[in-house]
Amino acid sequence: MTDATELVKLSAAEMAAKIRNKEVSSRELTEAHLAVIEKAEPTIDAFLKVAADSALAEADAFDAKNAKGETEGLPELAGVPIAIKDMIVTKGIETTAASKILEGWVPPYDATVISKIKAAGMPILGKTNLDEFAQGSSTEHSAFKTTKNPWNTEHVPGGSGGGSASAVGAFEAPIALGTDTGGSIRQPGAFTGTVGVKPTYGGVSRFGAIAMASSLDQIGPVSRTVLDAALLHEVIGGHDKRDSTSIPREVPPVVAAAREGLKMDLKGVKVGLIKELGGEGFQPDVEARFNEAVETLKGMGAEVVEISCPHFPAALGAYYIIMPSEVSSNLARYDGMRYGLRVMPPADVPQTAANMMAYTREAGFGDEVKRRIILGTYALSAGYYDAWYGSAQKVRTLIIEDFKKAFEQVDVLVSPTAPTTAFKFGEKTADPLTMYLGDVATIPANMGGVPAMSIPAGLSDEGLPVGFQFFAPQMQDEKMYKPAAALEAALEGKWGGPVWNDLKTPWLDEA
Amino acid sequence: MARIALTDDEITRLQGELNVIADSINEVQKVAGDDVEPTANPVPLEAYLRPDVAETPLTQAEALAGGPKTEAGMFVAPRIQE
Repeated sequence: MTDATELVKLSAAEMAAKIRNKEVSSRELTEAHLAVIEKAEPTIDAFLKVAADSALAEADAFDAKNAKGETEGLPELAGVPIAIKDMIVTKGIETTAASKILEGWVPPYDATVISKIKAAGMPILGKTNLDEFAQGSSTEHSAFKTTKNPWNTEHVPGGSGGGSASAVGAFEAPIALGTDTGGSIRQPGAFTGTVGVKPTYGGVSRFGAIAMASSLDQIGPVSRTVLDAALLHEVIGGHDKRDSTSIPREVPPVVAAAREGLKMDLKGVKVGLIKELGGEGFQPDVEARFNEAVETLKGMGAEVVEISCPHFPAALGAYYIIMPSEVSSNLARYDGMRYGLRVMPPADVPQTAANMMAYTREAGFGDEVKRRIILGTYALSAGYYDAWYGSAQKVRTLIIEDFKKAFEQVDVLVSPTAPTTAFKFGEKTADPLTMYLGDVATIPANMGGVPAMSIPAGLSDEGLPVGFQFFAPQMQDEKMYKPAAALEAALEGKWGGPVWNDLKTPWLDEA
Repeated sequence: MARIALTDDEITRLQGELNVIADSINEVQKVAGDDVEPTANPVPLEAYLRPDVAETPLTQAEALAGGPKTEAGMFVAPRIQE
């Protein structure tokens, strides 16, 4: 093992400390990760685009500032490299949402989160793979490549943010950004043994996040530790006038809460087990790891009670009305006019604008995206709007009420992140409905606008990671960071190190 | 309305898949009674106006850069009618 491979196994917080102490430069860190990316990508396929030249230039610019002592006031993660899900636009770096319809598109502007990351002097390593337009739960719906799970390359990394999760899990990047509409940060976190956070809806600006379902979408951190997620959360969070749903408040004190949690004292913290998220459909070893983690929380003084959220079973159905409806509306912009693909109709079809749109969209969108656009168009059509979309919006009200009532009794709610561990490639693509059922535990947070996060809870009998999920009340994201950091520390104490101590990384041995 | 020129194969396959999904989400109608108010935005906020200060928008060249076909500072679209 070389110095470079030692370096990439550090947490982002540890890398940042080494930068501050001048033990390592941003360039050295960036080069170390680019070297791992080169060795790992033939196996993992997490990246759609590696931006080596611009990452090194950003690293050099930060190092020059640092040498002159001009980094005062920058976030703690200043100089630490990061990977970005290709659902977030980056000026000058091709952004495709893993769709043929955007292939080759180079955005003329940066998302707000990207501006913040650049201002923090954090080099962008590249753009990570996803299900096309973030629609899917396995990253198998990418138009370009199939990302593998670093724990077992015959298994999916989860989705839609499989690229960011696998990149962080495989040490190709210390941290990454994801987007979460129904679990696309948290479920890949669970499947790859990493940490994934969906902040409160409106807590992180969505300006420059390619829109999927606007009332559910949220950008959030992907990392290997809870503290790293909190540090990144503080970099990207906060009000943005360019997003009308952005909350006009300061970022919640998530870093302080994570550091408090590392003391492993949870006296006075009330934890609610969600009665409706467990039992039938949940893999026994997932439940076993979940129950062990709950015992660990109790061992640190947390009070644990069972809480019923009676409307959660209806969340999945309501989500599969609201989400495709908003997808069909948001994806109407891919019309072959102003950017992206244009396909003219065959010669025997009139060469009109409307026909051009239809042939462009037929050629440019994949199966899952077409399925959702058609479902959404139908759900919003006259005669069905009230019955479907109207009912689903009412279910959302009921879910928000469930959360409100629950948080009158407890500080955080917990559940397994996903009912299963990572499944094998092709296992669920034939039947969309089975794929959708895997999101049953993550969707309520999006429907309710509450923050939620997944952290590793150990390994299944097959040796695949299991995820443990925390939910907190709206705009109180810090409330989940404390018990999450405490649980992470306690479980690592029990295991004798982080969950990835058991991960085989042949690509690092060669690096 | 979705403006996708599906092939016959796709139509057959999608019909089956969409019927299964439709059956499952139909259940939603049974949950929500008439007395429940719908929610569009899970975190309701007051609408506000940004300060009326001029900002630099994209240049015309930047705005046109991704266009499939452009000419003389404009996007070129196919004809609207046959």
